[in-house]
Amino acid sequence: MKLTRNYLLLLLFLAIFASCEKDDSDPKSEATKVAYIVNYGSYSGSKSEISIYDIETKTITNNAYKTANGIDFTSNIQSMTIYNDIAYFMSNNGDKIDFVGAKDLVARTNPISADITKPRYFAALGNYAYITCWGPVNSGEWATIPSSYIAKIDLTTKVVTKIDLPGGPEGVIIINNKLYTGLCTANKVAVMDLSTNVISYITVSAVPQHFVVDYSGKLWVSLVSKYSTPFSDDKLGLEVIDTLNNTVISKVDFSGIGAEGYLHISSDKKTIYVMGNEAWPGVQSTIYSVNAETKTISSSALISGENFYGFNLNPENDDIYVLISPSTTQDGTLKIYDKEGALLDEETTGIAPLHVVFYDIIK
Amino acid sequence: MSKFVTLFALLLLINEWALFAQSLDSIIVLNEVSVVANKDKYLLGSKIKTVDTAMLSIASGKSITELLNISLPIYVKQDAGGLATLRIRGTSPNHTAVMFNGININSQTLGHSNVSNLPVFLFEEVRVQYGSSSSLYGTDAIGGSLQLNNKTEWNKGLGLGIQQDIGSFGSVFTGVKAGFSNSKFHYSLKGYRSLADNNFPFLNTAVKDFEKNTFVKDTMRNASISNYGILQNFSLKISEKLFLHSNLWYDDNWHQIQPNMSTNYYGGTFEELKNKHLRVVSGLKYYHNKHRVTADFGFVSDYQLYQKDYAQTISTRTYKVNTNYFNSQFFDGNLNVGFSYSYLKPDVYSYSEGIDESRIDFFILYIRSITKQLSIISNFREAVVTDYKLQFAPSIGLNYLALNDYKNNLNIKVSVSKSFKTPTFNDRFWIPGGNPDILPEKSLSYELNSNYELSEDSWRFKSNLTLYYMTIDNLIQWVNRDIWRPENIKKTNNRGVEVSTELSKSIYSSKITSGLSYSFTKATEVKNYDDNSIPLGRQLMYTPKHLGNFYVVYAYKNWNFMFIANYTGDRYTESYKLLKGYLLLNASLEKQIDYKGHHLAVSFRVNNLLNKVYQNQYLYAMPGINYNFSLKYSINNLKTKTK
Repeated sequence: MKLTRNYLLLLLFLAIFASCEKDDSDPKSEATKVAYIVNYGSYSGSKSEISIYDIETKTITNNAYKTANGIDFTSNIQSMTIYNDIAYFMSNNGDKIDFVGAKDLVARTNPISADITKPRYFAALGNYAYITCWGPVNSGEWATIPSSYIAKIDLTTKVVTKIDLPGGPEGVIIINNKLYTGLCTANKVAVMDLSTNVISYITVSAVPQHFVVDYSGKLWVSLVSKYSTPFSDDKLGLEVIDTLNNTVISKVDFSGIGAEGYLHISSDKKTIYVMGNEAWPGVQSTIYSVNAETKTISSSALISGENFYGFNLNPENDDIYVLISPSTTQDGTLKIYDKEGALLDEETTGIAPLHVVFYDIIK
Repeated sequence: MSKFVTLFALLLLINEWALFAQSLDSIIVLNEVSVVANKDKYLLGSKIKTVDTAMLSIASGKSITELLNISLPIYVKQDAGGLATLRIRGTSPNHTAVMFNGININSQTLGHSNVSNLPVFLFEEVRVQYGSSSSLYGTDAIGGSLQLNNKTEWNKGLGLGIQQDIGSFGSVFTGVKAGFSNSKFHYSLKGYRSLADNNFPFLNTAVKDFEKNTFVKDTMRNASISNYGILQNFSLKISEKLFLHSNLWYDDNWHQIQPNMSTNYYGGTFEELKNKHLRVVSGLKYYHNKHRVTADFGFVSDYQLYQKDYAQTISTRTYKVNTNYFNSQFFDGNLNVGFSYSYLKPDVYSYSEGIDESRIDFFILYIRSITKQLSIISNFREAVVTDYKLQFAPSIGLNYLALNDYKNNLNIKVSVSKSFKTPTFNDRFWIPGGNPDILPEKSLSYELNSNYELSEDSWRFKSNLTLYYMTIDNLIQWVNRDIWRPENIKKTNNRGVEVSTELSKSIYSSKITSGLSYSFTKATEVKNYDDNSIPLGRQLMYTPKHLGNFYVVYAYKNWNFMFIANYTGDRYTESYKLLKGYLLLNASLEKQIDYKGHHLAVSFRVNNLLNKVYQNQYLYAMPGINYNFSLKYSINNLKTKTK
């Protein structure tokens, strides 16, 4: 009896010891809330990779795609979106859309590449994804991007339907069964009715790029100047669109907005963060905040530094994740700030970090 | 079209001139074979490798890329045939001067040459000079120089030749040569046409079938090549002291830009590029006792068309005048003083209007024996470029003949030299990004070179050992600052050891020649002028530490067998990803038949015998085992009587 009791105690001790050992050896397997970082890489050299930042342990794991799949990711990821626990990578050179498990980054099905040329950004509704694609752009066509389209993908059958939309659609959002996208070659937001595929346009002040929806349901769009489609400084900033009648109702000037026009909104949908100048030697990159209620921009930058390449807000606490990319041949940096702009953490990423996507693994 | 008319007119003019010259009285033949003012003696510790004629013959239907791949341990960064650049001693492609009969033909916009567009067929001599030599060759020659030369051979009568190659993946090469020379006149014309579908199968190691868990089998989709060119050499002995030469080379190159393996499989942007080049060198040489005077005129016109977009063409014209005075008994030494003037005019869609540039170089080269064994060489060059400070490129060296008897010859050279690279037009004027304030790259180089030869009756041994140490400062690199722009970003330190040996032995009617070459290159960044520097001390991108080359040529009667092995060591990509090294084996068999002046050579070559899957450049597929069949016919006995 005593022997049995001692034996059971030993088993219990071993079990506790074993479980402790497991915790020590593989903390990543316990990650629950993560920030996936898309490292763009370079167009002609090394390609994209994914880093995983464990929000709770504040640790980063680079080369996560290769670790999960045993092969380099050999295209340049333009954007990443997680929808229904699948992560979608929109990538160029080769042009394709990858589907990987959002929990483990493992690719279990092959990418879609037929009818996908220069995919940009992703939005989805129900069983359909809508991806802005630039299509083939011949030399001399960068000011018009005439063969661009929306790729409508049936997420079950993976069948792609092309809906022509010339002008280079970029950022995309779906509101009330309508798809809004900014055209890179004109001061127009295209609006496509998803029931009829009929496209109409809203004229804005400069080149529209990305969208957020505020607390009141109003649509905000970033307005930039592009090298091939320039606009004067006074036209740049953000505009507010009332989606009930698709008219521009307000403008916030921001002449220092970066050419990519990245913007994100706080969890209460009342503060919009927008990125100023992107990487340029000797020029400060910035992140400004905009009050969505008063429609005013902060008088000075909330965060400034050099070589900002992208950013996002943690939806749980509005921490600001800023991606810094000094060049396309060296590792970049993730800097995490709280919403007041105080630095919380800093980690080394892969090459040219571009996007942050938050995901709750055990939700 | 107008260029063709100009070309045709030039050909006619030179032909007329040649006919007139034929009526001149015959004169004493001087041993004048090279059309280039030979400056080898002024080369300091520099190592020069002349590509073996057996290698030239086997690669005569190929490009310089393939010739260098099989013959010398030099890293040529390349794809499967469309684009290749030289990286001698860990330097960048812009640091090798590519010389056509003495004039630099590197692109003025890019700063380097695509060596896949240089056909071996057109040249009688291909040489690689290793190491800094701006004092001799001017800008670019920091890592070395590639020299493509034609030779003038007198009294050869009329000769004709044709070569037809057929190879794997739709590779077809046709070359035609015709030449005539008597004691005072030489004319030769060569033309070639080279086509390749390049649709080779390969295992796509960049694309995995996730449902089957295997790499996909793929076929190259966009790597076709179509090149043609003509080269005319003309030499005339106007008097026994005065020679005239003219070389005219027109080359037309088109290729599809090979996509990376991911794009090849999934699709993306497929592109093509067309280039046209006209290169002319004409000059006079005058000999009088110890004096020699040369005057050359050079003209280089480059044109590039990308994706058939005629609104975005890139063209440049360079006019060059080069004069030299040589004195073989100047205070018991050899003197060469010279001056060259170049006028460069770009016409590039992305430059502002009205850009042009003048460059003036002055140089003094002097070599003098101190003792019977020891000589000193000193070279000075001063280059003046519009908008830039003077570039001073001095070099000094010692040459010691340590051993020189009827069997042994040991020659040791040491040198120190400064070289420079004038920033390219793109570096300065490209909109957007061009940086008019960019500084020239400059280098300081030390070299020790020893050459040993041992000859016996039936065999011969040669070996060469070179040590070098070089710093390159203000290195220019295009970096992505939202847009790409060039910056003087770093200082590098390149040092290495190069060893080569060759042994040849004759046994009855056979001869065996075997050579082994190895180079070790350590090229690292020692200073970074960018605040966000990458770690120092790492090996530079696309610079293999180890390169090796082994060959055996066995000649028996009219049969030639050749086996070549090349090893390219591990390299790092732009973003420090490791590319594994690879060993490639090639073999060829040739049969030659000579009958009453008719010469026929039939050869069969197998490349990549082991069917190795490898990448020279990250994500770019290379062909596996492939074959080439070649037929060469020439007739050389059509001698004509001289008057």
